[in-house]
Amino acid sequence: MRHLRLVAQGLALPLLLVGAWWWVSADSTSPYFPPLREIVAEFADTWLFTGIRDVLLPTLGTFLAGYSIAIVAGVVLGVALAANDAVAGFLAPLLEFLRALPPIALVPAFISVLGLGEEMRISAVVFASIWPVLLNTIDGVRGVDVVIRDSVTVFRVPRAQRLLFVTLPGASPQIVAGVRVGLALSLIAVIVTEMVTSADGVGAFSRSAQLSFDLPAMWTAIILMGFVGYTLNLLFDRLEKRTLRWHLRMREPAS
Amino acid sequence: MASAHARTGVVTAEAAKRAAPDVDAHVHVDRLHHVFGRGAAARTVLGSVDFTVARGEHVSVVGPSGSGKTTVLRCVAGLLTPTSGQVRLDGAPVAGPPESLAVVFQDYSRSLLPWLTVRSNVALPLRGKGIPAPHRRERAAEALAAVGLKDSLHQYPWQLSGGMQQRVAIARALAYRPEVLLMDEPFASVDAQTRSDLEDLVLRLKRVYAMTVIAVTHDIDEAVYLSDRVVVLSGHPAEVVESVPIDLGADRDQLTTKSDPRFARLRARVLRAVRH
Ligand SMILES: Nc1ncnc2c1ncn2[C@@H]1O[C@H](COP(=O)(O)OP(=O)(O)O)[C@@H](O)[C@H]1O
Ligand SMILES: [Mg+2]
Repeated sequence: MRHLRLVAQGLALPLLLVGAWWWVSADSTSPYFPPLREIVAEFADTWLFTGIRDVLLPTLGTFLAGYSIAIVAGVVLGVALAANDAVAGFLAPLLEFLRALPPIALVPAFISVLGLGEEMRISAVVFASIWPVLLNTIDGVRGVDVVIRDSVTVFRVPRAQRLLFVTLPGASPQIVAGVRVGLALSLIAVIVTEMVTSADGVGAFSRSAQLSFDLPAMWTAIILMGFVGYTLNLLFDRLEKRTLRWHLRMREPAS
Repeated sequence: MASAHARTGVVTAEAAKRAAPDVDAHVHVDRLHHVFGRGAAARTVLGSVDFTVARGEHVSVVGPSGSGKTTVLRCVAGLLTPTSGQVRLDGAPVAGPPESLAVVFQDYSRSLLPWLTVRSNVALPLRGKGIPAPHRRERAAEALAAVGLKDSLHQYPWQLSGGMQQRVAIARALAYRPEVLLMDEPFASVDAQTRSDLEDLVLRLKRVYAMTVIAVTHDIDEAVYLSDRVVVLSGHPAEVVESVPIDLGADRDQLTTKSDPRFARLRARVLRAVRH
């Protein structure tokens, strides 16, 4: 019962907004803001289901490849750097600079070095999302309580187990936060690189729809990416709740 | 025949040489000297701290707060290399955490891993000992039962009270089956009732698990009540001012022992040494 009410509450505003959009745009003659009715019809035509297969899947493929490389490389490098004060201190300004650099600014450089292919797009996604993962991993590993570190040292917990049961879980709240920031950055990077390389993918699709004045099609691509981003965030929430259950519950007030 | 005699002779001489400094010392804290920081910021915390602990003995180290008790324990645990001097375990110098030495840390609640259940916390140190998983779990459960926590195996440390967390830290040390147990102000931050319960728990456990114990405390009653000997540390820089044998026998309890006139005398003697 309570659950149903929460769902209803959560849906109220989106439904209201969609309703308003539908009503306001119903008689629209502006080519830039076609009636929502038209967009919905177009959406079904375009995306169900050939569009999903031919256009969305390549986008998701690039995203997944780049994002997972960024996560694995970011965590591995982060753990290695956190273990070495001298190297980490030496690299810190460079890493902060690279993180601050808007990743999109580098896309022209990526294109001139790697061309217009999939490699370039994946590299751009990696570059966009690796920094928050890497820097948060370093912080997280460093932040593991010194008393915990002393304990596992005294009890001679072997290296591999120390990494698996102590360092990584201890750093996981920070790592997950970095990975979440990386999710948004990865999606931006994949769409932008698709737009400028006119390959397959949702970014390329929406850009070419815009160039050929097929604005309903352009809007469907935007809506689709909204759904994709929203779904990925939901999945991420669930994953976070599972892996960080101890962390979330620890911070709840005792019952 | 002659060669056999010669060999025996050599062995005996070597054994004698090894045992020479202090025949039955299990732990020898040998002229420990430590300076924190360098240059203008240098602070000599340990002057020359020197004492021995026999196998199976329970020694309490008392001294004012900030006098360097934790620093001494960290040297014994191999977590800190002293500026000079050394700690020897069975005659062998300590360099890094020794095998079969366990510590109950002063910040016990921070020493437990919040992402592991109580049982996994207790079992984690056994991973380095090559014990198979079912045995690790069994041993952990056994140690937790010994400290009265057999119903909390699957809880997380942060779901427990301070006193219970302290028992988990003790269980973790016991499951490790150490020859030497170090405790740093183990009962400093629990309420009075929990504290005397935990003191009696330690007395009981000592009978079951034969261990050499070095416990740091600033509570003189507790030191006298629990130990075979109390080592009094002075501060700034730390030196041993007195080593008081506590001849109260092995059977002690809160009521009779603490009202024993000998207890009062020993307590007064330690107190005078602390204030000297
Ligand atoms: N890592 C450290 N660096 C600098 N000073 C320290 C460090 N650890 C302890 N000290 C100093 O050494 C002195 C003794 O500390 P400690 O051994 O913790 O005393 P106790 O345990 O007797 O209270 C204190 O004055 C403390 O500030
Ligand atoms: Mg201390």
